[in-house]
Parts: sequence; structure tokens; C-alpha cells
Amino acid sequence: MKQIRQGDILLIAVSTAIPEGAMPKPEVVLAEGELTGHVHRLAGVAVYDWSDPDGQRYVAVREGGGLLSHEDHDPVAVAVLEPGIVYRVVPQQECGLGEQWRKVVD
Amino acid sequence: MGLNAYGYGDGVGDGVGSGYGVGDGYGYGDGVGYAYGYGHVGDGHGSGYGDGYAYGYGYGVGYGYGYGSGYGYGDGHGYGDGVGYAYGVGYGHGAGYGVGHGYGYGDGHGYGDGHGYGDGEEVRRDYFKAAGLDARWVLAEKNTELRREMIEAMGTDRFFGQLRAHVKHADIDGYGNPRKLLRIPMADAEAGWLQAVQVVCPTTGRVYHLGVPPNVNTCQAAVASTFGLKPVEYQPERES
Repeated sequence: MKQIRQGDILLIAVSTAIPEGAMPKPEVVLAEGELTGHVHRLAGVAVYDWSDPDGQRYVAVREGGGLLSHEDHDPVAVAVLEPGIVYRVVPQQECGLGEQWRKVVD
Repeated sequence: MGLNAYGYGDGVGDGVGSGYGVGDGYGYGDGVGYAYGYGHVGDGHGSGYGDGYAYGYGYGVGYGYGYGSGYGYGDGHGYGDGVGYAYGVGYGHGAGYGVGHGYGYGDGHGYGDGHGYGDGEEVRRDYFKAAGLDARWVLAEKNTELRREMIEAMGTDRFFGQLRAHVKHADIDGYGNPRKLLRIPMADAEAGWLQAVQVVCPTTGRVYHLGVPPNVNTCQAAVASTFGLKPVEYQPERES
């Protein structure tokens, strides 16, 4: 399945439908940098953004491509999301060094 | 509680150069402390300087850990400039408190003192984040829990960026940039080492490190893991 990565955000195309009743927006923020405040932004004519009951987030666009932008990675928005395709939003997560520490059993 | 202190100084130059330093430190609560200070001076041409350094350390035996820390500095006077610097830090269980003083002067003189206090992991974590820790210094920390907290406070990128790690695996990513899977031996780590992958942002060119599970053995598996994917599943068609 098609994957689009922008910095620490990965969009993975999935065979899921846009939920009925989902309301389109002109743009959504996929993630915001804690330190920089820089934003992974998805814009388009009709942008859909929802989460399933497990909290998994999805986005999709209709009526034209989805424009992805970010201050560092894509200062000029690029139309990389195909209309009608649902993408799973996967934020990058590192295995922190503290997590690699030996577990202490009380 | 224990306490000891020592100081020394020296003078160099063709003029009158002399100096000394003293320091002391305290660890409060259940802690013990030590400190030292030193000072030295420059030459007789008005460029003498002194500095002081003090380090206090308290270490307790109760519940958890607390710590105290502080910095001090001093100015020197004489023919020239003087500088002084002191640093005190104390550790104690539950609550810790430390004080340190240092003096040094010669033709120039300086002094400094430092004191600090704190308790609880949260305060200590904030301190470590602000302390500008050096990875080699962190590795020298004997206390396992403190070392873990220091490493966490430094973050993967800084910690691995300052050390020469073992290269477990290396390859080239889809954009022609090198990737390295790096390991640093760590007896207290689950696997006996800490692991990170070094990658290059294809857009900005920035080199950075991400912590990855200690059981991955390739760069592809390492990067894929950061997105919760298996190595074969991670295949971005576009990356920026």
C-alpha cells in the first residue's frame, strides 16, 4: 500500500472507507512539533479526519489532491494525497533509552 | 552525614603568583557530602586570576532520591581579572541538600560558592535537563538510577551524538543517505546495550538519532520499528 512520509509522520494507504456522516474541512493538523511549533498540515477542498474506536486516526481527501505541508520538510505544499484514498496516520515513536533499561522488579 | 573538603591552588607567571582554594560541601538529611575548591592565579603583569570550585554531594539512604544542586561563581581582583566558580550539589534520599564553596586567589582573586537543594525525581529530572550533561560524564555515574535519569534527560539524539558507538549495521536509505544502527554497551540495560539508529532527514540533511528496540539488527528494521511496522512493511514512496 502506498506510504507517504513527512518527517515523523507516516501516512499509509488502507482499504477503509470514509465514514458516513464525516464532515469535510479545508485543512487538518496531523501533528505539531513540541519544540518548534512547526505543523504537519493537510489541506484540500474536502479533507476528512477521523479516528476509529481504538483511537487509530485516518485522513482522506476528496475533490482534488491533498496538500501536505510543513515548515521544514515541505515549505511549499505538495499534492501527494490521492483523492478517495484513506490513509492511516502513524506518528513516529522512538524506543526511549529509559525504556531499554533493565526492568526492576519490586 | 559526612563532610570533607580540600583545596589547592597554584600560581604561575613571572610576577607574584600565588593562590589557594578552599571548598566545602554538605549533604543534608541522610546524605554524606564532600566538596573541594581550588584556585590559581596568573602572572604578575596584571593578568592574574583566581577561581574557586566547590562541589558538594549528599547521598542518602531513605526512600527514593532527592538532590540539591547549585552553582556559584566569583570575581577576582588584583592585577588583572579574577574568576571564581563553585558548584555544589547534594543528593539525599527523599530530600537532599548540598552546599559547596570554593575560593581561589593570588594576584587576582576569586571566589565562588554554590548551594542547592531539591527532592524528588521530578526536580532532579529538571535539573539534569538544564545541566548540559556530557555523555561521558553520565557514563561515569556509578548510581544506576541516576545514570538512567541522566541519559533520559539528555535524550537519544544528544547521548548518541556525543559518543562513539559500535556500528551494528549500516546501509543506505532510499534517498542515498547513510543509516547506522548504533549500540552502546550498558550493563544496566535490558539487553546489555542501548541502541539507536542514526538517520539523515532527506529534506533538511539533519543527522539525528532515534532510540530503537534493542533486538532489531538492521537499519531497515530499526526505522520500521519507529512506525510500528515490520521491515518489509516500511516502504515509503515519498519522503520529505
